[in-house]
Amino acid sequence: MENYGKTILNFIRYHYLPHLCGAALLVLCAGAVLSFRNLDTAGAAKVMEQYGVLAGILLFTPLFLPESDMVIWQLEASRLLPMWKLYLGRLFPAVCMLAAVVSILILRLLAGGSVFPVGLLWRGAFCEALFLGGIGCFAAAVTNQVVLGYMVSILYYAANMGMANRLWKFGLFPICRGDEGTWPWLLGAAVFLTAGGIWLREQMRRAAVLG
Amino acid sequence: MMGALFLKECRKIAKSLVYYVYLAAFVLFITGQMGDVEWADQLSEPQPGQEDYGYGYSSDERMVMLSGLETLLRELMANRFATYPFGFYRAVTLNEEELEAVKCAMQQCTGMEFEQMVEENNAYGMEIYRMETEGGGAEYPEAEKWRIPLREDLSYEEFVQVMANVCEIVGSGSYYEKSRYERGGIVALTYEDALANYRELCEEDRVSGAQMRLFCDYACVFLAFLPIFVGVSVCLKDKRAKAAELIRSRSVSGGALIGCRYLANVVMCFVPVLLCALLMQMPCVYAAGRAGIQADILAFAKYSFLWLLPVIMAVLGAAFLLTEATETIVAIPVLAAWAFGSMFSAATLTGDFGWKLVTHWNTFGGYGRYAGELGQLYRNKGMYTALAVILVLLTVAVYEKKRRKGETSYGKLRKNNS
Repeated sequence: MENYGKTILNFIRYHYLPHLCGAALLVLCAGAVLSFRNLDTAGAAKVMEQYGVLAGILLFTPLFLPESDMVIWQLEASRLLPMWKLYLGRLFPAVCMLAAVVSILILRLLAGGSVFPVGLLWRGAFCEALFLGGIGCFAAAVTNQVVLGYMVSILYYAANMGMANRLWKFGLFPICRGDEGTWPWLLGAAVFLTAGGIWLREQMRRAAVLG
Repeated sequence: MMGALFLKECRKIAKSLVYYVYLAAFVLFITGQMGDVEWADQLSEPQPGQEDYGYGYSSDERMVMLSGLETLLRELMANRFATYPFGFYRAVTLNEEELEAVKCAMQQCTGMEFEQMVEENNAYGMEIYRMETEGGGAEYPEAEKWRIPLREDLSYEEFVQVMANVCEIVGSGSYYEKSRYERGGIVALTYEDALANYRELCEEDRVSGAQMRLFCDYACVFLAFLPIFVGVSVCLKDKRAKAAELIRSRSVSGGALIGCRYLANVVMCFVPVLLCALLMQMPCVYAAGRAGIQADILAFAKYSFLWLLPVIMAVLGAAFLLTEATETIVAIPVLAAWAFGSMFSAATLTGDFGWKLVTHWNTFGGYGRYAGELGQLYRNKGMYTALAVILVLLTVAVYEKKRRKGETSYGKLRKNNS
């Protein structure tokens, strides 16, 4: 357990810190780009669903970043300890940071006198961010390239700007579009994609060890 | 040697998965956007006696006041005011007190109660909707269209003063800044205006020019962020393959290596764009030919080189520099923020190029206005081309510095990124 703790701290220190800083910067810059004053549900949803969810891409896509270096990958693959535990450990700070980003933005909206259903918007934005991050995480796991992870998740976000309605339950900006019931689908897809990415990496490790 | 190096870099890009995602994304997005553009009906000459000839811009003070107040009424009804305080779009919602102050300003200009204005506007909207749904596309005659009333004795100076007060309440960068609303006077075109526009389309734009400006508008949005991934991926490839040190030990100069790599990226990113432009232009050239208009068959190249190439060059230059300097993927969030920021900072989707990375011309035609802003566009594109050259030179300097040290800038295993 102690080993995992150390490894996760090293991951944060040497690989993940710039991404955490990026998410913090996203919150800090929000005031310059968006208005938090006197918004109704639609306005607040726009802030959370079109801006806040970008934190998901920043925080979840680089979860497999260290292993894109073959030396680190081979070193980790040669160890007896299963890597899924390591990945779950990396997932923990990402989920916490995402919850913090979403909560801070919600608090800023409330402080600006905006009126909206807090629970609904928090849940919706959190699930949507998880889903976007899950897409990036899965793409990075499959291709072993974080660049592709970012590319796929950003392209999915961009594609939703014009055609979210055509993506069935997996279209982004559901509250803005008045379709508030899609959050379980987004959450389910996020869990599936992230778990799928981790499972795939574990299989790749086993194949590397056996090979 | 340089030629061989260039071809090698091209081959390397052609083997990259990121490049194919780039190609697929660009083609899908651009065909999706351009597929919805309806330009065929604009190839027929306007005839005298038509009910409607469309709309155009006017600097007439009365039209400026009418358009300004119509925008104010629309934003006031929605309580959502578009502002661009730092160049980025920011929607402002007013509280009750501020709303009352703006309503008073509106009443001062119109001499009519705000509630009555909303009522008349809604009734007009309902009537239009009813005609559209029941009348099979019947159009409202121009003379009977509801327009916001202007107070009889309202002077332009008083209007300017009222707008300044509104701007103070809404915030800086709103539509109510004098420089903004003075460009927004919208007026219904007469037969003569429509005919002049048609001749401009046939003689100046030669049809395909108008279509290519629209193509560039959409393509520019995608090219502001898609090449980032190609550039970052290529720069990190040596490192991923553990070949960076080996390459640095070769006799080839840093300038030649980075120059060839950069050029290969620019060519590989630009050639598909050029081909897409050519393919998109072909139906337009054909339709123009059938309508008896001689289209400009080289418009695709003229506009792509002027409008899109500098964007690709600047984005790739910045991606190269940031990736080479940090050996991380930091270029992706930084440049994506730049691209999206530039995209959302557009106060208008037609012209107003300024120094924006993403330059818009989201309309078919309008050559007169375009010719007026062409100088601004040249300055914009010239600046981005110069910026791209500077960024590449800086990348070479960074690369040479790292090479002299004989290792990566940080050189530690923990700094791996890709």
